[in-house]
Formats: sequence, C-alpha cells, structure tokens
Amino acid sequence: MNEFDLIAIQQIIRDQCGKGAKFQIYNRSFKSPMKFVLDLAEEASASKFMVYWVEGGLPENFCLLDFEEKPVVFNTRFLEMTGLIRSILTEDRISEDMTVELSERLCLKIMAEFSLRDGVPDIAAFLMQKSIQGQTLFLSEKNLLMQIEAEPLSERYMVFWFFGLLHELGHFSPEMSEAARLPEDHPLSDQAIATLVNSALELFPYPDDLKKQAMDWVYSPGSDNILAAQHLREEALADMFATRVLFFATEAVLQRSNIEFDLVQFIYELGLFLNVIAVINRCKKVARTARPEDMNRNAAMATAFHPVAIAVRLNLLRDFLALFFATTLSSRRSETLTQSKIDEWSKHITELLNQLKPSLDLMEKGLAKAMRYVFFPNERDSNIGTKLFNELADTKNPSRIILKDFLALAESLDVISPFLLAIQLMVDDDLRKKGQFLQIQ
Amino acid sequence: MSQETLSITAKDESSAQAVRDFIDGLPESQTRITSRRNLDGGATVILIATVVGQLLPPILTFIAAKVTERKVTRITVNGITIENPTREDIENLIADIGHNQLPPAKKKKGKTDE
Repeated sequence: MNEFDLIAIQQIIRDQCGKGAKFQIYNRSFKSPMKFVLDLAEEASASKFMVYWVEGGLPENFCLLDFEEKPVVFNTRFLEMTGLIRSILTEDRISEDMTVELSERLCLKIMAEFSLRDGVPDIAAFLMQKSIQGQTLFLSEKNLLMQIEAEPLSERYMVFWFFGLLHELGHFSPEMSEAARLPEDHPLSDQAIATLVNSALELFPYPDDLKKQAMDWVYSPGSDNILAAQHLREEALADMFATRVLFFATEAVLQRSNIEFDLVQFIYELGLFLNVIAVINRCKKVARTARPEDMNRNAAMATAFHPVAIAVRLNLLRDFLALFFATTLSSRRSETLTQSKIDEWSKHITELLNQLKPSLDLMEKGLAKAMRYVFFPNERDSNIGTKLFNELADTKNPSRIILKDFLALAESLDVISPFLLAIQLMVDDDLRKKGQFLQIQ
Repeated sequence: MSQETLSITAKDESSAQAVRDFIDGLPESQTRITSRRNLDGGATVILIATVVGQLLPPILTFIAAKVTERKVTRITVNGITIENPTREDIENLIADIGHNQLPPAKKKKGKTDE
C-alpha cells in the first residue's frame, strides 16, 4: 500500500470515528482467535485484509472498498454497545418494566452519540440527559471491554467478537461480484427478495399505500434505499459469508481448547447478535432523522421500514443456515442430503429464533419510547436540565461519568453547542458552584 | 508550499468524482475515492485529497455548487468538519482560510423537505 493510501485511510478513520478515537493496525503476528478468524476469512474470500483496531469514538464498524489491501475498521466501542444491548436482552433477573426502561435509556444514549456526529448537538444533548435523568439502576460500563475479553471461549464469545467483523469482510467475498447476475429462480434474485419483502410487510401494521411504496422500493437501487433488492442481497451475502466462516472458525477454535462445540447455542447467538446490531442500526437511522431538514418522507419511511429489512435478512439467514447445516452435517456423516432434512433444520432454527421474541418485544417497546423524543419535539421536557442539575449534586452519581464521556466524544467530533456547555456546567464542580450562585441570585 | 488534506463525504459517486476530476486538474494534488460500507449496508462515497493549501479556495468554490444540490453531506478541511454543509458554511470556511473568493450566493435558500 502506498503512503498516500495509508494517509487517506487514517484520515477517513479520524473523520468517521472522531479525533479522540485511538487506532492502530491489528498485529497478526500472535496466535489468537482473531488471527485465526482473519486467516480463514482471507482464504475464503481470496483477499488480503488490513484490520484497524479502533478504541473509542462512535460505535461503528465499517469497511472501505477499492483498496488493494482491504481496510476494515473494528471498533471496540461498537463491541461495548453490543455488549450492553445483549445484556439487557438476556438478563432475566429484572422485571419487564425495568427491561423496557433500560432499553429506552440505552437507545437514547446511542441515538445521542450518533446525533452528535450528524450535526444536531441540541437534540443530542437532550437525548443524553433524558437517557440518565432519574436513573436508579445502571448497567455497568466500567471496564466493559475487559469484561468482554475475559469471557471464556464459547460460541457466544466467537459470535460476539467476530460476527460484525466477518460481515464487513463478507463485502469482499467473491459471491458479491456475481450477485447482480443471478437467475430468476435463485433464492437471492430480485423476484425472490420481492416475495420475502411482501411477506415481511404482512408482519407489521403498515397502511396499504405504504406497503405499495415499500414494494416499489425493492426494484429501485440507491444507497439510502434499505429495501432495494440489490442492497438486501448484498447484506444477506455478507451475513452468509460471516456465518460460514464463523461456523468453521468457532468449531476449530473451541476444539483446540478441548471445548465441545454446541451448534444450538451457536445458532441462538447468531440470531441474538443479528437482532442486537439491528437495534444499533435503528438508533443510528433515527438519529439521522433528528435534523428537522432531514426529516422528509423518504427518511421517515427508511426508519419505518428498517424492521422489514431486518426480517428479510433474518429469513434469508434462516434458510441459508438450514441448507448449510443440512449439507455440511450430511456430508460429514456420509448421509444423503434430502429436502426433509433441510425442512427439519429450518423448523428447528425457527423455534430457536422464536425464543428471542419476548425479550426483543420488550427492547422494541423501549426503542419506541426513545424514538418519540426524536420524532415529536413537543415530547421533550423543557426543564430536564434543572432536574438533572439537582440530581448531579450528589458527586457519587454514576451519571456524572457518563456525561463526561459524552462531552469527551463531542470534543473529539469538534462539536460545540450551548447545550453541551450546559452539560459541562452540571458535571464540573467549579462551574456548578457558579451555577448555584446564579440560581440563588 | 504547504499541503492540506481535504475530505468530503458525498451521497453518490458521481458527485465525488466531479470534485475529484476538478482537483486532479490542479498541480501537486493526489486524490482517492472509496466507498464506505456499514453493518446495516448503508453506503457513502468518500473523497480524500491532498492539495496545495493556496488552492483550497477554488476547490471549495467548486464544492459549494455541489453543496447547494445537497450532494455533499460532510466536509473536513484544515481540521474543521462541517456536517451537512450549506453554501454559507463554505463561505465561512473560505473566509476562515483567509481567501474568500466565492461570489455571493444569489438567493439564500430555505430548508426543504426533499
């Protein structure tokens, strides 16, 4: 890679993740599960990858196309966010109401961080304050990455750490270049995807005119169009690449450590993770519509149809998993592959994924509550700053640290706003004294 | 002559390519276009360029036209990042650089929904 390309990549990472994000090229000279996964992915895609390990900044993983050695950004902040969502979805010791509340607060926080990047600091500041005001139960974020790393090797560990990364690498897979020329009867053809979108639309209470608009979108390419067949096909192919590589990598890594591979757990973790990243992506899309001038019909519909896109991707992944496991396991057992075996796997996978539904419904409620503060400005309470200022008089209130982290992110993204200065006033003890003095006056 | 790094994020490749073609015609410049893909499949086109510092004003003037078409969603130059820049933002940016060569906008457009 030439010097200019290296400078260009570093500049893009700084731009996209924030100046405060620290990054380095991942060192692959040591044996680790990550090295194993990357080696396997390079073999499967016949490509060379350069992984940039990013700490801090915005919680985003992404890849850059058109470079000889493919740059992929692996952000540990993204891992932390997925860890928090996952812990809410799998925590069964708290009440349903508390699950909804924690979901709402976390979604508000994620939206606040993305709103900062999207140039709406006033809304970002409000969402952040709303995410912590009146909070009594906190998810531990201290040393979260170390906690994640300290987890024992398992299906959960492998999916959690590497599915997102492998999905990005999947965009370089050889299948991607052939995707546009698929025959009509292929399960990923435009026609097949249109059928899946049509079925998925029936799961949601959209009015008929919106459903019709959604179907029109299937055949309209465009980077903003999340229901375009081309877009859904590419994402499904990246999911399939990630699943295939992760299956072989997980099996091998666990075997090397004398741990038995649990296929059912692996499938459960895959379904869970895909839903976790769907939550982050929906928060990101909602944040993008926070700017009043960007809240147009297309943007609103893209947000509204995001669950449909996820349902289609999950359907395609379920069908792929059924075929993949039936084929792989039949071959290993020297058995003949039959349609009934594929159907059996499909049923089994559907049952497993359905187990996630109750906790996903609670998360959805929390997300919906958080979204209303973006979509309906009159829902934003005007005295939230005063309430929070009083709560933060307690110097041990954990929200102080959360707000300081938020201000650091704003600074690293070069965002300046009176609303952020108001938050600064709340968490800086010297400024607080002056603020109280002003209140007394 | 000092070199500056400029990056723009565009909604489509043709807008980024138009800026690239303009910059490539200037002396001592280097450019690179790449497409950024996310986990949710969102794609954006990014142009990175190193250019002679004194040539920033004409480049920004050229970009200002793309800004009015709302094709440029972010611009970073001299360490300053502007999200969803307006023509006015670009004018201020050029003024900050100290070479305001942009002709005044004919009419300040209101924000539209589409």
